[in-house]
Amino acid sequence: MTTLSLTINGRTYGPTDVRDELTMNDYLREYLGLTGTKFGCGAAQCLSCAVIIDNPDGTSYTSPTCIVPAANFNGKSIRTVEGHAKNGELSVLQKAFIEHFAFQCGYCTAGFLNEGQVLLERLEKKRVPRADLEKTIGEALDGHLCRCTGYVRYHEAVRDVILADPHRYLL
Amino acid sequence: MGVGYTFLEKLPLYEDGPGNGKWNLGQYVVARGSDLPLRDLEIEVLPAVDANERPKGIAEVTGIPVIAALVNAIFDATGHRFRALPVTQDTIKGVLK
Repeated sequence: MTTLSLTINGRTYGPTDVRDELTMNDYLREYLGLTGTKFGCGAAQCLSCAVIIDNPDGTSYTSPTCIVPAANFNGKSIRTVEGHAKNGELSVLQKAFIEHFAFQCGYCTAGFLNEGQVLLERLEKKRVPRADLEKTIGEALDGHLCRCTGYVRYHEAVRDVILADPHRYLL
Repeated sequence: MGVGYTFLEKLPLYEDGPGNGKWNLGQYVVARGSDLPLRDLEIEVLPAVDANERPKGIAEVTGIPVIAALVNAIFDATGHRFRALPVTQDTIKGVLK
């Protein structure tokens, strides 16, 4: 058993004792009822289970949860799909996903949303030239599997958010 | 989905196929974002035949013309009509020799 304390979407959870082999995905979905984080392949290949981990220095990255023990998240601060909307209003990226019809079945959406959000925040800190934008988005979202809409609309949604506020994201 | 069906998805029947319950994304290969021309894509939406019955929907149904277009493009390039999917590097090399 490991004692687990962490912050999820700004709220503190724990300390709670969890089995060492309990995955983070099961902890989120079964223990906390945060089922927005999906369970896909169970092998960290599809990234539908990815969440955002916020580092103390202000940077963030995504991590799959399906093969990672919950205990590994002890002391960490994470964000899940449930944490993007503020006061009942969807985030800019969430709205863009809807406007672009970026998803159909929605299974991959939480992962794409988290990855896209991390990208936006990264670009805010370190802007890129306009010429590198397509490549930057492509590389950031690559690895998240989607079989409904073929990636194009996710790509366009993220691009539109960036181009709508170019001084914030682009050099 | 059309790209995956055309180039990547090999689903043999019977014991060794996906029906054995042990398959995952290592065997069932799904196209990734980097497999697609995301930045150069031109999508032409034809006008609706009936304004009250606008076409809608994505996923499986819209995948069909993608597959036909890709295999047709391979025919243009190689002169060979592939009539079985997936078309792989090996099968293309096989008809080029």
